[in-house]
Amino acid sequence: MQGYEYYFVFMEIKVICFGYIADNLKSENVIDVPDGTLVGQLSEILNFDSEKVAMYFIGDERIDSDFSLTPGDIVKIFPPITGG
Amino acid sequence: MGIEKKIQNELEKHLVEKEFADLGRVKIVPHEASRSISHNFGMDRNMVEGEVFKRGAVPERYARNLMTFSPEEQRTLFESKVALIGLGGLGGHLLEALARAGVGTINACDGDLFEPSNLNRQLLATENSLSLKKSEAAFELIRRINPAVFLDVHSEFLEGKDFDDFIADADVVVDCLGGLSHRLRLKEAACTAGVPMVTASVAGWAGIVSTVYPGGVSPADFFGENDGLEEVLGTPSPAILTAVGIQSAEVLKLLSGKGSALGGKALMFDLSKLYFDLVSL
Repeated sequence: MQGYEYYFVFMEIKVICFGYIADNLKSENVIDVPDGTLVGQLSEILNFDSEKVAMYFIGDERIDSDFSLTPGDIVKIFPPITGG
Repeated sequence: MGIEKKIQNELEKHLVEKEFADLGRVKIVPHEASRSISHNFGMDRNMVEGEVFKRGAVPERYARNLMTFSPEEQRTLFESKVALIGLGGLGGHLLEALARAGVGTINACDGDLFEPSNLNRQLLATENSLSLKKSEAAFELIRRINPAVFLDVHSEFLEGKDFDDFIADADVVVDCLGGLSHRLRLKEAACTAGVPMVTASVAGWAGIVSTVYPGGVSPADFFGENDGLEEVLGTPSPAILTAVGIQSAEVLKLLSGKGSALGGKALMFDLSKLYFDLVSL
């Protein structure tokens, strides 16, 4: 239909941050992202430096940055920490 | 009568039996008897307690372990050897946990000296130990807590092939390093030696602990090449203590034969929100 070529479907996901990623990023973030968003695009959407993230997880599985998100996903992000 | 026989007789004289729920009667050697036999026969405490275990008994100091580690498992801990790399925040507390649990032989190393910034978290760092070697403080801790532990402590930083030599005959390797620079080299050495490694790291309120079997994946594989977040957030005590609690439990379960809960997995936590999550790597 004319006028609907750029129709986007959004989905709600939750992003949980372990440790510190960025000043603007809260520990828990419930956000709407376009359908088909890749986990590696979260840095752009939430405005943080992707190099500050070491690992992404959904459920108890580690996922790569090209993982395609689905509605209701809870993404956990973990930064590089090496102190002792 | 040979000295070995004399010691056996002495131990026999002092053995007492105590009733433990689920375990039944267990032969225990009172602490004072163990001390006096060591003193009277000029025999190292490690050797005396070795004789205790050989007789199917348990030194009294481990009585409160026995509902967690059976007498046989306690003996296995005593006959085990751990290679502990790093005696800082994680390493000092971990050394204490292993010594109190009764791990018989610990190879530890750290080439560092104590400085004031260690006082916020490091068990071995005290007003009196500033500028002293961490390795010397480790030796003193073992002497005070459990002299039956044989501690072979090295005052040096390991480089390259040193890692292979240091961990060669260990049953478990424990990564208590600070920073990233040597963690992957240590993992490689443990892999080559075919020895499981328990690794931990912290920054601010957050931390992660994992058990890495040879050929397996470690959190450090994903940490990139830059300094970790601890350069910004520091390393306060609560995250250190939490990480060491999990790390020491993993080491003791591996050594005693109970098995690891973190093989190929990681326990990551953030104490600011009390997030605890067990994930696969």
